[in-house]
Amino acid sequence: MPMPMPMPVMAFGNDWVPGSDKQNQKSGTKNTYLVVNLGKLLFLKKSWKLIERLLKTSSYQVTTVDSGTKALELLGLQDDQTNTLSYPTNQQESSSLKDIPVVIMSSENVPSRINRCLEEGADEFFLKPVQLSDMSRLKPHLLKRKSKDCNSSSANTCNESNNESSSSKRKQIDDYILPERTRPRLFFER
Amino acid sequence: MEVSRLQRRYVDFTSALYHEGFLDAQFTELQHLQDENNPNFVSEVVSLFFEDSERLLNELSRTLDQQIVDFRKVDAHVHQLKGSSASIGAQRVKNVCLAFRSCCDENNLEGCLGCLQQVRQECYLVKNKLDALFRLEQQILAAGGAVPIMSKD
Repeated sequence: MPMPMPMPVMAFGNDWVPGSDKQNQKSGTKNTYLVVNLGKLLFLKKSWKLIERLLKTSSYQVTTVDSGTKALELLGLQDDQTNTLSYPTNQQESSSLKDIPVVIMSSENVPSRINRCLEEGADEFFLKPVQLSDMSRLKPHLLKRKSKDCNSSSANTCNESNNESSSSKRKQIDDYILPERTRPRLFFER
Repeated sequence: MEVSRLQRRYVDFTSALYHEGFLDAQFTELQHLQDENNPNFVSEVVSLFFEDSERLLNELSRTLDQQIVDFRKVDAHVHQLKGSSASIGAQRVKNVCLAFRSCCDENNLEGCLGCLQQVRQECYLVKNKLDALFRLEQQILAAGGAVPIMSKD
């Protein structure tokens, strides 16, 4: 039985339109969400390969599982078959899920819809195709969540461990390391 | 064939693909994400695209073949295809998807069927081009050379 992992820090969703989850449940389509933990877990659907690569290149550690059920297990959540990773969360869902920053991605560049996404609870919007430079926009949301976690527990112990782990986490985020290239790269102009 | 000749051929071939609109800057982005630790990243992403597009094209065929065509459903599939083709830099495929979506908006069945044919064709063309590209890359690597990568603007 896999050990539950630390709570994920970020979720990515595709083409989410506020209120669409109810419609989708009727028509049987599903929004798919990617859940990323700074340290550990990624629920990977095949089409997330690009995002996985972008995250890894930006020094996020990414691990993969091949099913939503396994992802939920590792999160320590029940799989009640109702697509519990859907966003926005409804009243019955675990309050801890509500604290996960959500990034919505779409190839649609419709300002009014983008604004609505952000107003209705998405923390960030990425226009597809997503690029490496977009990864830096994740930082503020992760750092914000870290300090938010702190508020709910006792001040002393939390501050201490928070400062320690957040500064090491910050180091991990800020250390953008270009992968080592042993083979020379030749560039040419278009 | 010696490495520099293969590399020259590769550069010419790739440049042509960009000039002819088969590929755009997003493909370059993908190439830049590939490295020794992820040596097959681009071909993996490209394979996933073709698997996905196969499925979507079949769905589109089926949906357009119904007695009563659900254009919202057609549009949803085209939208997916548009997004995924854009993600690999398959520009011509993406452009047909744009036209396709207009036909969906107008509930234009004839137009949609025409676009379906066109988008199938463009997927087929770009797949062949990319297969040739990857073969050239393998030849260069086998000859002990490095694959030239277009610089990012």
